Amino acid sequence: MIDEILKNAIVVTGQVFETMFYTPIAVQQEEDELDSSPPSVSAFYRGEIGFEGRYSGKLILTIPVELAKTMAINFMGLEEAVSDAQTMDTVNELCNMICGNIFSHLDRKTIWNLTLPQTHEVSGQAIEADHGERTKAIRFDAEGYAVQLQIQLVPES
Amino acid sequence: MAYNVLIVDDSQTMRKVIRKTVSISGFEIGDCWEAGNGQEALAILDSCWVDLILADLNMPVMNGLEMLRELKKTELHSHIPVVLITTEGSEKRLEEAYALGIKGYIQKPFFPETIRDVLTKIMEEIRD
Repeated sequence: MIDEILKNAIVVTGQVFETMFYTPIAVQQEEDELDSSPPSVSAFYRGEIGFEGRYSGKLILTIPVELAKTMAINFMGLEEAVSDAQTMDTVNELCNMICGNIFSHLDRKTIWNLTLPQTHEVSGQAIEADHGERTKAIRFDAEGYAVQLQIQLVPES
Repeated sequence: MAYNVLIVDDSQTMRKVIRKTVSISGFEIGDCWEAGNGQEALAILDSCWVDLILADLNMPVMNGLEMLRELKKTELHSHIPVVLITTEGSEKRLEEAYALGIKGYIQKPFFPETIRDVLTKIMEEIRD
């Protein structure tokens, strides 16, 4: 189940990053360093959005602040710098688009309820993801920065 | 011909992106207003002439479907065409939205050409 979600996530993340944020993205190859971001990167934004439908859980997107700012500028078509609030709102929209599209592509017959996304800043240590039967993560490379997408499923009651 | 547009989305960033994308797509905008949820949108409609509403579904306070239900109740507003711009893709939700009178929907993420083509077609149909 979670592997199926991740397969969709790879396709959808690429579409979202490239269509509206003009940022090419590819799954990080296993032989790459786990953290391929430039050494100066120490601050990340962590965006979270919950989903509920045939199964429930949350999607967590972790993205370097520097990359998020560039993507916010691309997204809004600005020539000047963006504020932290605008950048965090952009990460919220990223989470919204990725999550919404993953599940609607997976199963259009189910009604998927999404929570309002929330984004906050985290340090580099916080990006390490747990792995397990109900939690998996994928790492992408976007313009030389590591981006992590994590899916956590809630046990069915 | 320029149209007065109301953009309804809880993300200020997305509202700006929609506004900019609609403009660059070639679809002519006259006056443009923004609202963060359905309730704010209804308040704007009480005092402004709007030709077209572009709305998200998932919003706090009053979501897109709730806003559509309110619009249907008011003779003054029920004629205004609504196009959803949303990540929502479930068949049941979209069926419900069409039953409440939306004229079309655009799924996020979108290309400017998609917005232009959908909006132009809808406004031409309404004019005819």
